Amino acid sequence: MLIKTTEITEIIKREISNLEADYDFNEIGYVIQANDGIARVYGLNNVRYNELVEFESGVKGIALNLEEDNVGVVIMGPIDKVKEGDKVKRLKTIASIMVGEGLLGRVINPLGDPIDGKGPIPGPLYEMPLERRAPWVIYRQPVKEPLQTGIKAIDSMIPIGRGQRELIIGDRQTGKTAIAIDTIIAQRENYLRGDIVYCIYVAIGQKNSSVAKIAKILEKYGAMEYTIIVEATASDPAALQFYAPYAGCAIGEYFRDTGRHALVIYDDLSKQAIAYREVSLILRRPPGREAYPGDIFYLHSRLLERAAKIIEDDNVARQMNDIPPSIRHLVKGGGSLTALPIVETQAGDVSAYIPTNVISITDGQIYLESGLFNAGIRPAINVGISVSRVGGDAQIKAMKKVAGTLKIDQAQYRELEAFAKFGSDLDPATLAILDKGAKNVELLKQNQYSPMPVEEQIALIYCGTKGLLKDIPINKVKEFENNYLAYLRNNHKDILNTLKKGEINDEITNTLEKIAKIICDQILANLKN
Amino acid sequence: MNLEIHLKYSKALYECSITANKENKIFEEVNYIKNVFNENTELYNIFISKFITPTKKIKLIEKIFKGKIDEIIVNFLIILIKNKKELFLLPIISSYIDLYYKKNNFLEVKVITSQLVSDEFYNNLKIKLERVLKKNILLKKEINEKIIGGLIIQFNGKEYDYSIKRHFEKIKDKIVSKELYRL
Repeated sequence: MLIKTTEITEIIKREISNLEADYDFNEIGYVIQANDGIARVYGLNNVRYNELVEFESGVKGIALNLEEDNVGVVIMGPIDKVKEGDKVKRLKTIASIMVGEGLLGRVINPLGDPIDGKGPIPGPLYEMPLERRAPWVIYRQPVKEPLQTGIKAIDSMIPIGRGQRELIIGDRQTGKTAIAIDTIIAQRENYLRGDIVYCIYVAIGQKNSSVAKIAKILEKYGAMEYTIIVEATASDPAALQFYAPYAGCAIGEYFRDTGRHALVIYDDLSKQAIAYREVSLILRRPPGREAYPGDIFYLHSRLLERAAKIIEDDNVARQMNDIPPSIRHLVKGGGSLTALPIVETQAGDVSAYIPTNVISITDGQIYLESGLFNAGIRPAINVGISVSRVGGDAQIKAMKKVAGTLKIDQAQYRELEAFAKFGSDLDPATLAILDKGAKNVELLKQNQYSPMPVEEQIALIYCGTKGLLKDIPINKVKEFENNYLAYLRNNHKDILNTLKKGEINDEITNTLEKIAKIICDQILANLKN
Repeated sequence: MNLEIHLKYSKALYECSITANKENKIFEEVNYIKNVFNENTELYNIFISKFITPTKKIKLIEKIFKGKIDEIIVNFLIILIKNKKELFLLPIISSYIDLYYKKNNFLEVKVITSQLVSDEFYNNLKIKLERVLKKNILLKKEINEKIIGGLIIQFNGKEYDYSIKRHFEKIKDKIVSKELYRL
């Protein structure tokens, strides 16, 4: 701590000498009942919906139910510190979180308090409300810049743009979190280049140990420098768990509104919905389908609507609706907030309440299947039902050209594959489709924590879609991939650089075909020996 | 649980007192009853018990209160027993008191000080408050050493905090924020 004792004394002296008979005016009420994370408060006649209140012990709460003779308040801290008869004070602000650059690399709770033991958050902090209306239409622009996830299957077939909301959905243990973590790690390339995509990972209802593991992995791959982890663990009060995504979103909005790019991952929204259901039922709100309250759709839609691509024009952006006063002077256009919500399904049932809701809100979904995962296809993305509704516009030109037919090819392959299982004689054209499809599946497999730069993806997928691997056996595809990319990196840096810019021409494709032939020949020669 | 039961009973009790033209007397005796039940927890426990039959309870109430307090209140207690609404006694009494204050333009003001203050101070405060709020003020005095000095005035869900503790907390906030800013 840098502060000097003399300075403190000075402040106290000055304050005491200036002590005037001024007063604080508070509106107060009293706790008449406190249980299960909810307090019923008598009084607080003028309290507003969603307003922050403070209990006598300093614990904060949010007024969620305004009833005829009492107010239902969710307690946002240790429940045992709230007793019957405690005084409750209106704070006349809505719940907010203090955000700044100092949060980067830190693990915080949804109230903004650090929980990683590294001391207070340094630097200037700005107050961002947890609940805020999404930017209106005139302050937005269509998604047009790509957000590279570094995962071949996603960047080629289900591309995600900056400002998009793409759902990651699947059963437990299918690699949902892995995709999110890989996407964060892939942003390191942007970080090093200076085009930073700030990442916020919101862990809801997870084990402390899992979050610690994720933080460690991100640190290992140098991703914590541009990442913030917001954590509400399974043992935290339900109120903290359902406000955690809003805290993550508020942090993302700070970067979005100051003209920068941010990516927020909500892991996962099904647990958040469960926490919200718990709070709602204790508040005696009527249960609906699957016992979720009636506003569960609104809970998710108002959260995900806040992901947006903001208009480039600074003057228009400055007039954006609901800008918090604390960052009004910092507002710039051109920022974006991309959201990757995760939803866990039970036994692949996408028609359950929460999955259908979130599917309909988002701009597409990446569907992971345990069958594929167990068959060794990882990431276990089911290409057939995974879609990206707006990301296609954001794909870089070269990728669009190369991977244009990949998705349809793979869908055709999946259809024929089912037929081929009957073992009947097949014509050569069908066999060719089957062979190409199988090779492409092999080509799209990718190890965890190894994001691939977009230029290498383009070069590789070109070989797949053009059927350049038809001569080599399927178990040699991985070897081909490694050798081919190594050859390109060593001998054709210029081609990779051009592809990275999104340009592709006949000269490049000819060279790529030549290199592929050389590598294929090498592998075949090795096989003969 | 019907949350409005206490309102209905308290209104009925108040109207009975008006009809009998004993408004003030009943009010005093209701306060007396409140104190009796608050101080004698055993009596209260018997009164709300589900195991003691209503006839026994009524006999007990008559033995204790009959002749000592107004018949309206005794009957009121008996009605509560007969209707099995014993648990609502205290809420009914407090909403009755609220109703009485409202009808007679009374306002209960809680004054919290750090130590005992002279009666003159309370009288002055009462006169001032009556002038400002235009109500008959009933001062409720409370001593709380934790506020260090100064005073806190509470009424109608509002609080005017003139305490020294609040000043110290403000100074603490200033120091902490300065420290954070420097880091």
